[in-house]
Amino acid sequence: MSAPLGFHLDASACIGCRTCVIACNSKNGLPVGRHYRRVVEYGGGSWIPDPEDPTLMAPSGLFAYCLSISCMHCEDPACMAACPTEAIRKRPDGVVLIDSARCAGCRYCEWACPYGALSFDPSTGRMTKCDLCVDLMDAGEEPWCVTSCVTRALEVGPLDELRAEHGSLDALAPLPPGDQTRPGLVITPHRHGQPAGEGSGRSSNPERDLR
Amino acid sequence: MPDHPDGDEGRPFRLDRRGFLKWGAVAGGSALGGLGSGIKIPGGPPLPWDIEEPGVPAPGPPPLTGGQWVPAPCWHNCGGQRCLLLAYVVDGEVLAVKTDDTHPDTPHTPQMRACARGRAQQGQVFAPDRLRYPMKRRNWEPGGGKRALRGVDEWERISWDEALDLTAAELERILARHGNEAVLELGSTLRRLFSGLGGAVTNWGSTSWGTWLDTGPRIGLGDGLRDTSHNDRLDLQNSELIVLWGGNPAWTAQGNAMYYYLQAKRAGARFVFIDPYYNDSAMVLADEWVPVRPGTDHALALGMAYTLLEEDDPATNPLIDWDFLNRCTVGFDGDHMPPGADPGDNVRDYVLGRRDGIPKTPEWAARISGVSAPRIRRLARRIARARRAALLTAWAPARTHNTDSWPQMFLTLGCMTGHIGQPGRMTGVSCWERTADGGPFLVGAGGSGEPPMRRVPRKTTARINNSELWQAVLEGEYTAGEGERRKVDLRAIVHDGASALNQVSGLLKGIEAHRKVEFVLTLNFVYNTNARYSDIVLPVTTQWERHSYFKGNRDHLVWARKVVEPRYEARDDSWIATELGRRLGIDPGEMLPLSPEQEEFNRLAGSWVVGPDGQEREKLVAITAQDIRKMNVQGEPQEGRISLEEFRRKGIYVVPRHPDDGLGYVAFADFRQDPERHPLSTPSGRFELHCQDIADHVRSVGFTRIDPIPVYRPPAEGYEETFTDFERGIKGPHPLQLITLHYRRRTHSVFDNVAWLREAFPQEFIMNPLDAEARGLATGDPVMVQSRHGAVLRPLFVTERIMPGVVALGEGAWADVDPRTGVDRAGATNVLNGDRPTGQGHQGWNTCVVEVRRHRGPERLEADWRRPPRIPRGVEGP
Amino acid sequence: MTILHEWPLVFFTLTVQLAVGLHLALLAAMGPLRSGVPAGKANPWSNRPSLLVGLLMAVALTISLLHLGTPFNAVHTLSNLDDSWLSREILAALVFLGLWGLGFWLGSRPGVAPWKVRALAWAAAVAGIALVGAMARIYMVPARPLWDHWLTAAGFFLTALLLGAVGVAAWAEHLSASGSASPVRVFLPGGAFLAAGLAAALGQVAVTLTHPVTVEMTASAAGGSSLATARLLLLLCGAVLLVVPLVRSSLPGGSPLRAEKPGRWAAAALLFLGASEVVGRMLFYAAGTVDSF
Repeated sequence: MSAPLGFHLDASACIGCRTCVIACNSKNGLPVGRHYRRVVEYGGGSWIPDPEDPTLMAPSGLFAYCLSISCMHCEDPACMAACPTEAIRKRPDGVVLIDSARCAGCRYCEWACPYGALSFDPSTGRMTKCDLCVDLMDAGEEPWCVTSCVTRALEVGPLDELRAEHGSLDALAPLPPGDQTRPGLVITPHRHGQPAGEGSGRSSNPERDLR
Repeated sequence: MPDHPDGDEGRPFRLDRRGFLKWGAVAGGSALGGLGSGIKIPGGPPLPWDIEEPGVPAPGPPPLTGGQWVPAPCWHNCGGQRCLLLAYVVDGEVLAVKTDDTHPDTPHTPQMRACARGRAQQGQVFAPDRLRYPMKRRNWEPGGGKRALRGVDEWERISWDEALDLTAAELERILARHGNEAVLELGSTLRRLFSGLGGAVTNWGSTSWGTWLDTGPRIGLGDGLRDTSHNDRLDLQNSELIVLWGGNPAWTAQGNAMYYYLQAKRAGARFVFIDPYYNDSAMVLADEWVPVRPGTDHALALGMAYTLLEEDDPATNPLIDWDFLNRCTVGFDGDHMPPGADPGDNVRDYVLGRRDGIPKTPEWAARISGVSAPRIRRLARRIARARRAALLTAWAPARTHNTDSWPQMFLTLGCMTGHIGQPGRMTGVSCWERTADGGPFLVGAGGSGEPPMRRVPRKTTARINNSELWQAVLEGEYTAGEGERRKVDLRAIVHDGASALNQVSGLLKGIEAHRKVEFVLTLNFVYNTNARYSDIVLPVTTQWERHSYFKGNRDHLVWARKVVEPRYEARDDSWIATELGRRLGIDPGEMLPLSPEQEEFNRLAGSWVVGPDGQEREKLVAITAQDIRKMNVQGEPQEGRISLEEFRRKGIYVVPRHPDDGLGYVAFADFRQDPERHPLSTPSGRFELHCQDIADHVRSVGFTRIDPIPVYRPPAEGYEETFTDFERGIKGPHPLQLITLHYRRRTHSVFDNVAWLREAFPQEFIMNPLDAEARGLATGDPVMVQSRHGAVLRPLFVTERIMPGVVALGEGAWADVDPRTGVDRAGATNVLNGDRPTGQGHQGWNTCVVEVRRHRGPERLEADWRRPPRIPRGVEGP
Repeated sequence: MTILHEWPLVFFTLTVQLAVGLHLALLAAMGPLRSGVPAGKANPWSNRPSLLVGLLMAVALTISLLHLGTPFNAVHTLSNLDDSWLSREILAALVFLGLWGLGFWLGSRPGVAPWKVRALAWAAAVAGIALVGAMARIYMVPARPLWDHWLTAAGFFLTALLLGAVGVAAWAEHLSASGSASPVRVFLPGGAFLAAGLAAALGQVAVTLTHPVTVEMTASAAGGSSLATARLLLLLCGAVLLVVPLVRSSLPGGSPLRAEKPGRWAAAALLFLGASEVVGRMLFYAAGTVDSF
């Protein structure tokens, strides 16, 4: 059995440009309203009277960063456990795929996934999600999100190799702590990265109708 | 009356793989009701992904088979790196778009990767709101018809013959009756036609560059596009401090630019961002963020200059590079003045207050700029003490009113600190497609070989500044130079390309102007703002439907070509020019002197690349006699670095780069070493901190005046104008400063209709929590933004990332002006920006004062991407 | 807040909970442990309303198919009993319906030992409780912090109790109104069901006020607070309609105010409480579509 595959995200380089999102849309023919990959914007801080000049305001603890996320191809996929039809399964290389011949479209996996990675396709009545571009991977190429990244912040590979090179961090706020599903993700933290589950900032994507 | 067909509920249109080929029909259909349903993704062949249960179909669309990847043009004025797109074409239809994978991606020779917009190019070429066939406004008739209905009228589909006949007849009538000075041409694709007819009135003025366009070259710096003043991207990695003053390359220079900056950061550079907005570039790069009020950068720089003068001591605390100032500049002090200049008129005396009695102390600067005095001092010291610093700015701070001297002030800081002309040291514009990579091109395409137009005596030479354009139409007068107002009687507006109505300040006045004239003609491929307020609209092809396209940057050249056949009835602009010319008595040969194939060949044959010595140019493309026969063109075979076939297949040639390859660039290195032997092209041959040339130029334009040295002038609609009484600190009716950002959804106004991009980038109005709380506003609230010139409606995004007192909105959204209220619902910034001509006649987009309040209406505004595509009323059916 | 595509689930869950609640209440009403009950009558199936339980379950399962994007693949939904609470829910629903059907069939056959039917009634009750429990566990996933709370389960069980008890209270009155010809007797006084219903209604008020769904949705989502307000108002109206007959039933026999037909009040209360449950469930599902990032 080959080592499980996963993503490396360099959060210190992700500029939130969404090129990966559009590349993914193009690869998978996704209409608006559906995504396999999305960018989470997280930030916080405040403005206080400038200690050096109280007539002015100054930022205090201000920070912001972006995380480009998709299906994490988790070691313990919550979607897979939730699926009543066993339509969600893992390849030996760790890629989590949906068998559309079995999927009943109950959308339970959508609720169970802590990363919001699943996308229901109303035209087929099936759930869909990132398949790590297995067609390309099997042909020796890389997923389009990875090859699209203009700051080279995304990487794909065997998780053990990615961890050996980039460490074992698998979550930053606002992502859930990695122990929930053990995501196939290695993060190089942004300099202001906040621990998952304890972040002081907020993601404003939902309020802005940004997915 | 709503002026788009919003009777339907605005379902977001589908866009699955097979859907692409019927994209326009499908999406257009969804707005018409029901045609968009029923498209199925066909099941693909099985993939052996599951060992336990082989044969289970893989999810998603079928793999791409049966077609080929074609290098596809990404042709916009985007500020990006001129990236490579590849479109997968099957049976003349595009199934997917990817980017450069023609060579391994390495830090020194990276792939030319495209941005979100480029990769969404399908959404534009196959847009549901592509203009499909010639249209005539229902209530237009020669002479104008019901002019007030422009923008709200219905449309009629007409044949090409009818459209060309009507257009030619109306132009002929106006030219015959009112002369060439009655036609305002606001694009360029019919330029040859109008030249043949004796010319038309045109527009002028710096847009993107702000005041760098005229001031930059006159003081000795590049304008940032045609000529650069910063070192190349590999030398940038020698900098220990990089100051980005008013720049956000993550948004404005997409493609590889941020990768180059990240490389510099990894090489050890520290980054300081000076900007009202903690932008996405600062998010990943900034070690320090200095929030500064819009339009006050000049004051901040003066405070820094004062600090350096105050604290410099050549022996104990050397902060100022006197040697550089003395050898390489004129005008800094009374001992180094250009010939004929008043010695009292020098920068040093102005900064210290000896000239006007006001020392430009950090305290003085703090009050204007919003940066505290101690911080101004620290910033000045930090830059002055850095061994190798890059002082880089973008055009944004110069895109403000009355800011003609700002480039000179920026240069002054660079000269005082001596960060010019050495490895890791540079001062200048790092912006748009030249971001983070200065220097002359290493590779380029040849000329098209198009012969010049036969000379026809011009019947008009009138050129109207962008800031007086609409007023000239409405009031019949414009400024033609210092003290010179001229009459003009404009009867027709021709939008042959560009996007003038949407992209020039004073949009509401522009609509009025469009409703005044007798004839408005638009050539475009989408139903943009120009088209909406026109009488006759002619659909043109996109670059994907044209023969070939060449574009590159410093170290690569893209050769893209036709991807698909013209959609619907779209035609090339050149065909339209020829056909109109035929009807107006111009020889068609004048319009289309060369075949597209011959033009393409000429550009290929003339393509060049620098040799290993970094100096000599050699031919890029090897062309065989067989190639020439196959292309069916005239030409000679030639040797070259790559074969035609390889270039055709890859669509790109990239010059391999390495730090020691001799192709690096340090701007002004020779000049710094020996200014006598390598003088600049300024009158003095030096950097002109005293520049009579720019002062004279600004005076000659006829709007306002400036000094030859960088004197700070409070800009029209700047911070000072947020007060009714600045001295006593009493705020006025427009207490907030608006900046208009290059927004990621678009390149200016292009791409605004692309659903994927509308979804990713919501065109929200950005505000600080302190300002929002004071108005009882929260993220998602619908807000009305009111300036002196108009009002727009937008959803609010509250973020700490913008400084208090400053608000921001992306420029370029297609105006959607409610005919009842006059309020724009798209967030078109030129509704807010006023047409106020100052200085060199540039557009002052980042100086605008506004107030913001909650909109009385729905609790939330529907997101743009959920709104139906904008399709001309009356011609919905194919 | 998007709730449109969850309509089938609103009605599926409420219908199942009503069916389970009715079965439990009927079981209690039959008072099998009380003396003096004819053995053959001490099971829910001796009453016509028990038919409703089976009917409701059949309807609920049909509605649940409407929620599926690919209803044909519903045949696979029992595949993941190892891990999936949805598989378990469907199994529990089928077992509940099966036991109910078996009891119905046996109860209608002469000569079947009453204890067998009673045992089936109890087994069905256990399956029903398991069903409501499994249903709640579906939503109690870490990925949905607003749902992932024991109050979700509490709310589901209270819904079953509320609708079942008030339903039976309404029905008991109907029986007594229809005269002594009915072969059925209700062994618990109507007041007990009214009281149980009232307790459940007040319990729902408490759950509604404290559940993370209400707390978060009223704070953040547009329209969240109006749904929550409507839910609470309807609940309180239903509770008041239950209080009136309870108080008046407790009056002495000769009092002119003594309620003669408390079931009509209960029936009216059921309308309000049912509406409240629909509104409450809409709010619940709306919370599930809110992404936290």
